[in-house]
Amino acid sequence: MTPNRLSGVVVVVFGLILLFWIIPRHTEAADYGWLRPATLPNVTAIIIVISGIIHVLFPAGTAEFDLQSAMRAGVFFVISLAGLFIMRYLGFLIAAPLLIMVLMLLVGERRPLWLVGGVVMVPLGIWSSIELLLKRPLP
Amino acid sequence: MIDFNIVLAGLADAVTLYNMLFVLLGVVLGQLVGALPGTGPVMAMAIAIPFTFTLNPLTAIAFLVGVNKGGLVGGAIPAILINTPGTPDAAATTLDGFPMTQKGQPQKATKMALYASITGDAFSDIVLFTSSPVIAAVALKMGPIEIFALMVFAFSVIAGLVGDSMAKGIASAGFGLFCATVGLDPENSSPRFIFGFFELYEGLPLVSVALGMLAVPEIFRRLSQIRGEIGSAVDIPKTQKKADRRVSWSEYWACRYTILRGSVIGTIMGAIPGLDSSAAAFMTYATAKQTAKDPDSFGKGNIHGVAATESANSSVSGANLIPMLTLGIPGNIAAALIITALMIHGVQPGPLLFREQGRLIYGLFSALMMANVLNLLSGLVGLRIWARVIRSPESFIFPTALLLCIVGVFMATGGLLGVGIMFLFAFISYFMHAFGYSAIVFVIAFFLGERFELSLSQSLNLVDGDLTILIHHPIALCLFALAAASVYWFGIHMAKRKKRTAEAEEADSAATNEGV
Repeated sequence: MTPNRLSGVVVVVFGLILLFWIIPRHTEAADYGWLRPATLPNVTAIIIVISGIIHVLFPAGTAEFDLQSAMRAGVFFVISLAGLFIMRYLGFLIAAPLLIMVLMLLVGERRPLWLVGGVVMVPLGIWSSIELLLKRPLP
Repeated sequence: MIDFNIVLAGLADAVTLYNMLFVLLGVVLGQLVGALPGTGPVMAMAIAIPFTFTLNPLTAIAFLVGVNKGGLVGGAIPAILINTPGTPDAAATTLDGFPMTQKGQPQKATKMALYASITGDAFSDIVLFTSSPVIAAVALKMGPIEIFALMVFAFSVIAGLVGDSMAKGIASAGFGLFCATVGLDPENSSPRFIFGFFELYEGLPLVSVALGMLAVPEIFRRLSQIRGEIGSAVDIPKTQKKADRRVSWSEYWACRYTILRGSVIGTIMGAIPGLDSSAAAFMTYATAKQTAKDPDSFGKGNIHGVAATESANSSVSGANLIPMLTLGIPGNIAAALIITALMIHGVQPGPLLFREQGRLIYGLFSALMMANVLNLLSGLVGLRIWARVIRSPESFIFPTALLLCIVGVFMATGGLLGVGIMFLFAFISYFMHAFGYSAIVFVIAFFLGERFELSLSQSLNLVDGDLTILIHHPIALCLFALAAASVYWFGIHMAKRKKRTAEAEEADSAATNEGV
């Protein structure tokens, strides 16, 4: 099965999970009115399932999934979440330079001027514009 | 009936030094990000939306419009200089723009791109001013059933035109609509899918979803593609003949029909929801080539090629606002982001907008024209500067953009939950993109979801189980029929045609190989 066709299977499974697990558990029952809380979510889940089935049967278009790129993007994603976690507990002024530094070093940036620009100037510029100029709090 | 006092007051509202400065800032920012391959005005607009909270609605929208217009001009610069379109809209500009650079005429090409872009943009803005009030007046006569039918039709067209498969487009639209149902339902006000987060009572934050679906996954994609040497190099010859550095009036005038054709095609295609500016640019390029006396010179540095593509892709931007302002349906992603900004500022787009916020809309029209003038002026000054900006390393640009996304969403949602939602949607969008499921269709469906559910609720109550009532709504019936026709056309007919073409090409190449 090609990755393109396989994506249709994932869509069908996702639609079924919505239809039989998520929607019944996270909507309240109402016995009046034409449009109940679960009506539109159910309709959208059915649309997702049907279009997934159609795609499995008659796959069109392309899927360009590159595992290596996805793994690299995943690393950046995890680092960003870690940055967010640090930001929550230690604040913007510590987490932001750390996050930018790790990202810049990871993609291979070694030039001191660009590193100083990214690690010091950018977070400082954002912090001073938001906290000092706009008087809005940052984490 | 149009109240000319409101029209004049609105037009005058925009013409203040304060607004002019923000439009200029938007245009300059747009040209800058447009010139940086991989960033583009959409990412800049998405990041800028939360920062416009402190501005009044007119200034905020004028600023965003400036970013969009500036981005369309800026996107042509790397397309011409380094054969890498700064934005997808400028992809067709590489066809003749880069050969002009190779011939030693990079400045002539970028200047023609600027003039053609501004002309196309101004043309579509004039069409927007003149047609929108009329379309809005007609739209006001539509009831909930017609609005619901119109949305179904819009979804069917957008799902068919955006992306490479109708089934994938409909799945994306369905998922976007599903995500729009998070929060209180319109009839019973009972919470849905809040998973214990009371912040989700009002639904998923628009800014988190917009940035998560569009900007953040693109940042991760670009970061993951950086291998070895960082940054891009552009070689601009230091000494050029005067004639190669400028576009004379006679050269511009010689391109008048090409630019006019591009403007008309771009405006028509821009007014249809779902069609993007790159499609308009390629179509205009093909038409310009077919009608040229020397079609063989296209692709080898013909200035008409640059004029055609840039006038077409820029004229789409104004025309995209026609369905957005008159019907509340965003024509493309930039229009969807402007809708987000309008909604954040408490303005509901749609036909009532002209009646309830007429002054704001005419102010916006004025700001659009102002943005065109400022785009031209800052382009004339900035073209050389932006050419140098292309040298900024991606290793600096994308981590900065990511930090701006985090800060922007934090400011907009007032907490880290919104930032977490942004990352969740970035994750989803990354995989949707990889497997060809359109994030644009998702975002448009998500933005329209609330109104869709409301109009569905009102329609069901009006019909009250008796479908024969629909006979009294012929416009709605026509729209439903058109929706069914578009599903057939894009989903079955076009798919079959594509398959036949692919098979014919395969047979041709097999025959050629056998011959060899």
